[in-house]
Order: sequence, then C-alpha cells, then structure tokens
Amino acid sequence: MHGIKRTHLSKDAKLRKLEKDKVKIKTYRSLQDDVLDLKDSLVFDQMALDKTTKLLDLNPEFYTIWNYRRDILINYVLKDKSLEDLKKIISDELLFTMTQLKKFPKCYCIWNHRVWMLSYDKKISNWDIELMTVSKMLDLDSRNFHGWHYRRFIISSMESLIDKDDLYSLVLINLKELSYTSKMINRNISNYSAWHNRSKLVVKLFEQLLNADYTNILQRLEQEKIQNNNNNNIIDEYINNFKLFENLKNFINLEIDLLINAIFTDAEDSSVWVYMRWVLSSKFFYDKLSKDEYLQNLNKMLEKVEELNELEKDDNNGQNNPWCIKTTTLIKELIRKNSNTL
Amino acid sequence: MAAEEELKLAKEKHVGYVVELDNKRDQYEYWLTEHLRLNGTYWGLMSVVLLKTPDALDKEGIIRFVMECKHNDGGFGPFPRHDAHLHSTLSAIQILKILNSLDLLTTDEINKTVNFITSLQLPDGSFHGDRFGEVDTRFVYTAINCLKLLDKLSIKVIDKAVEFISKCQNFDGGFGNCPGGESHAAMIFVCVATLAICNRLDIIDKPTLVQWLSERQVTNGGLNGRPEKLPDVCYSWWVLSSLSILNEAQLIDFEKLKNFIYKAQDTINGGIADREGNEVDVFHTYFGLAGLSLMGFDNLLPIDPIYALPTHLTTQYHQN
Repeated sequence: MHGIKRTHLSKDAKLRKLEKDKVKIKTYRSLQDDVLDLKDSLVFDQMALDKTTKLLDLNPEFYTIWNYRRDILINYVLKDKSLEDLKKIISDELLFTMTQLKKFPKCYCIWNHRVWMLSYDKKISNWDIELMTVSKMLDLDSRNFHGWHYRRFIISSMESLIDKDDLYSLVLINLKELSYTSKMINRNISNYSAWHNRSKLVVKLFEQLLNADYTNILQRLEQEKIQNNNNNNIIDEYINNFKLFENLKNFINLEIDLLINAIFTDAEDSSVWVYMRWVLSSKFFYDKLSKDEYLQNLNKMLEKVEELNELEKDDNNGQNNPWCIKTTTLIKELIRKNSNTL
Repeated sequence: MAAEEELKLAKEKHVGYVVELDNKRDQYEYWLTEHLRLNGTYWGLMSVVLLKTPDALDKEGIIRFVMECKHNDGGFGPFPRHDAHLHSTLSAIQILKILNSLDLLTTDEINKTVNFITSLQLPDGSFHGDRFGEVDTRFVYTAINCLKLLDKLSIKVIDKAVEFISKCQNFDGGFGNCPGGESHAAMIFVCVATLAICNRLDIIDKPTLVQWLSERQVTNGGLNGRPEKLPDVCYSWWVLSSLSILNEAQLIDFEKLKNFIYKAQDTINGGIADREGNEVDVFHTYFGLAGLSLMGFDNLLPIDPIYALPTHLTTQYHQN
C-alpha cells in the first residue's frame, strides 16, 4: 500500500487486531447490506442519504455508494427546491466532501463528487470560494495531482460563465492564474506541477490575445487598479504580466532570466531543466523570433549553463552536472541546426 | 538487508501471498477493498501466471465470480451488487481472456458489453468511467483495450479517442488525465498503449517523451511517475511498458531497477510493496513482477506492454 510502513505483528498483537476487526466487520457489513438493499429498492429519502454519509465515512472509496448518494440527491434532496435551498444543499455537500478530503486527500471518488456537485448548476456555485479552498489545499501539498486538476476545473468553470466577447474577463482570470503559478514556483522552484501549469497558461494567454485590442484591456486593468484604491500590488503584477504578452520577445527574455535564476538556485532540480528544454526548443517560441534573436538566446543560455557546470565541478570534485551536460548538448545541436539554415 | 548480490525473487512466497489473499475475510481491510476485488483478481491472476503457476488459483471459482459481477446492461462491477464500471469491465474481459473463457459470453452478451462501453464515449472522444461520469484518459484505455479484446473496435471509436488523447499532450511530450492535466507516467502508459492499439503512435512527440520517461529513474534504481517525486514499484510497469512500446526500454538501467523491486519484497510473507520497508499489496506485487517480466528477468512469462496480458495471448494483434 502506498507509503504505509510494513509491520510484522506478534502473535498476540495479531489476535488483538482480529478481535477488534470482528466488531468493525460486523458493523460495516450490516451497514453496507442495509444501504445496498435501499439502493436496490430505489429508496430516495433523507434516511437513505444519512446512511450513505455513515458508510462513506467508513469507506470513501466505495464509488457505488457515491453513485447512490447522487441518485438520492437528484431524485429527492435537490428536487423542486428554491434557489436558497439549493445553495444550502450544495454547501452541505461540499462541507461533507471537504471533511473527507482532509482525511483522504488523494481519493478520486471524493474529488469526483465535489466536481459533480459544483457542476449541478455552475451558475449558483461560488467559484471564488472554491479557488481559495483549493489554494489552501495546495499549500498543504503543492504537488497534489488531484488538487491541480481541480484547480483547472474551477478555472474552466469560471471561464464557461463568461460571455465569449468579454475577452477582458477571460484574460484577467488567466493573468491571475499566471501570477499564482509564479508564486508557487518562487516558493519552491522544484514544483513541477506549477511549471506545467505555467506552460499551459502561457500558450493559452497568447492564443487569447492573438487578435486582442491591447490598449482597451490595459485601460481596463488600470481602471481596476484605481477602483482598488491605487495601492494594489497584485494588480500591478497583472498589468506587468499583461504587458509582456504584447511582445513575445520580452516575454521570452524574462522567461530566460527566470530559468537562469532557477538553475543557479538548484542545479539538481529536474523541473527547471525540463521547462527550459521546452522554452529553448519549442516551435511555439522560436517561430515568433528572428533567427538572430533565437541564436542570441541560445548562446546566452549556453554560456550560463557552461558557467554553472564549472561551478558545479568546483563543488563536486571535478564531476560534471549531468543536467548541464545534457542541456549543453541540446543547445549546441539547436545552434548548429539553426546556423546551417541561415 | 542482504547484500545486493544475494537479492533474489522470492517466487514461492509471492505465489503463496496471492493464494492467501482470498482467505483474509477475518480482516477489516478485506471488506473495505471490495470495490477493487475484480481488479485485484486480475492482478493476482496475472501474478501467478507470470510466475508460471497459473493453477495456484481456482480457475472455476474465478470464472464464477466474474460472472457474478456482470450486470444486465453488459458492464461488470468489481463485486456483486457494485455498479458497473469500465475499469472492472476491462478486468473481467482480461481475466476471461487469460483463462481462455471468453466464449462463455454469448454473442448477445458481448454485444451488450460493447454497447455498455461505447455508450460511455462522449462527443469529444473521451470516456466516462461509469454513469456518473468521471472523465479520464485511463477510461479511454480501458474502453479501447476491452473493445479490441472483444474484436469490436471500430474506426469511429478509434478516431474520436485518438482526437481526445492528442489534446492531452503536454510540453514535456507526456500525457495527463485530461486536456490541461500534468504528465504522469500512468497516464502516459494508458495514452501510449491506446495509441498503439489504434495504430496511431505517429501523433506522439517521441524524442521528447522518450527523454522524459528515461529521466524517471532515480539514483536508487527505482522509477518515479513525475519529476521530483519518490520512486515506486508500480512505475516499473507504467514507465517501462511505455518505453517498451516505443522500443526504447534499454534507456533504463535494468540491473538497478531489478534490485529496487527485489528490495521492496516481503521475503517472509511474500508480496511486493511500493518501496523497501512498506506494506505489500497485490497491485504492487503484480506491477513489480510485470516490470521484471518486461526486463526478461527470473524466467517469468513474457508480458505484452500494450495489453498487459501474456504475450502468447496477443500475437494475433501484432501481425499487421
């Protein structure tokens, strides 16, 4: 079992466990039979819902019971309810899953139920609160695969509620997300999940802004700043990030500086090197640069990586850093290829 | 811990461990894992098959159990009375295939199973795992593999599925659980294997993906599933099978990986854990053995990296 230490129980301890298990098994099986009987008889009422709560509390992996719970919610709990009641029911359900997630942060079923509940009516869900909630969860485990997945689900739900013509709001959501990934990377450059999210956001923002009216969006960001009493640093950050997207060259330069800073912070961290490979070799970036500009960037990076390897050798009895060697080979190959076609 | 040269595969212990799995009804954990029982049966059966002791388990009993898990709509649940799910449906079909018993299903029953699977495909090509719709690349693989084993995989299903998988590709060449999702070795396996079944490996950015996969081996020899994460025996399968499908398994240091798997064994009671010193389970036991089989160690039965079945059962799929 993932991450559980192996123990070989003594004979006595084994017997004591079996004694305890006997009671637990009896309670569990009787509750399970009870709930499955209700499910087979298509009973949809409060009593049945409460029993699924009890059973799922004992075993959150029991997806059949989550399915039954959803049947009860659809056919009884959520049926013909006023808006206020619906909001209350949804918030209760979210509270239940949150209690569960605190105990089992990697259980697919619980995350899935939360997504289902919030998708029931995306218009009445409070997405800002969800975003804060998932940020807290990612503070506890910054690589939680489910957490990041859930975060992207929240963002796409928020986007789905925005009018297609309202480019400003779409861009703002993604600028905020870009700032969030920068924050996570600055906190720990080894957070590959954040680097990954960054790669998605960069491409997405460029696509969104391909034919955009930059001046108009910039003006609205400035207005937002004024409305926020002029002293909101975070909006300044959005504005600065936004300006980068007006010109890809600026963006790439900044990205390269970020990467240089990162490899000099921790030369062993693979996340940064993988992201660097992408920035240096992806068509998405180099297609937007002239050959000279591209070669300039490659040479700048080559120089820095070689410099880093010398420092690494000094620290490690003359041993090369394998990431530096690998990246040097890649950059030299890219330089050769692009010089030939001049 | 014994010196590395003394490490070896505790074959008999592992067979014993798998055989004993169903005799643990006095333990609470046995009841809490019913939702994985059919999958667990496939993992256990494959373990003894790879160890060349297929008769260690009661074939008739297993077939009876599989049939008890079948629903009227053609899907299989992981346990009687549990809802049908694509994951358990694949396990059921794989088990019947291994036991040479697919002919126990009538044409009508097979058609129902096929309908159950195809009805879960969405317009974007992805699949719901069951009627309440978690979407994930894992379910594309379970669906496609199942349809292939039933000889009912259509071009229409393939084209949509491939379209969906292509949207799950990432900057590092890998694949996530859905569009936007981070690359993860298990998701890469399901996507690469699906593309292999569909004959569409051409959509992969092979050099980038192969490099990323080859970087999963850490200094103690084990493989991890994502950068900067701990190694785990199950990635011996997810990473190595993906590399095998792409004909690049040699990029992994087999000797070091073998020793990592050996060290995760419980040599007293049998079974393999995620890593040294941890509690064993049938999932890691199977994936540890599957990894050793892919590397050609210990005279295990060879396993097919695409279908996760013994190679002698899949030769027909490799002829074109």
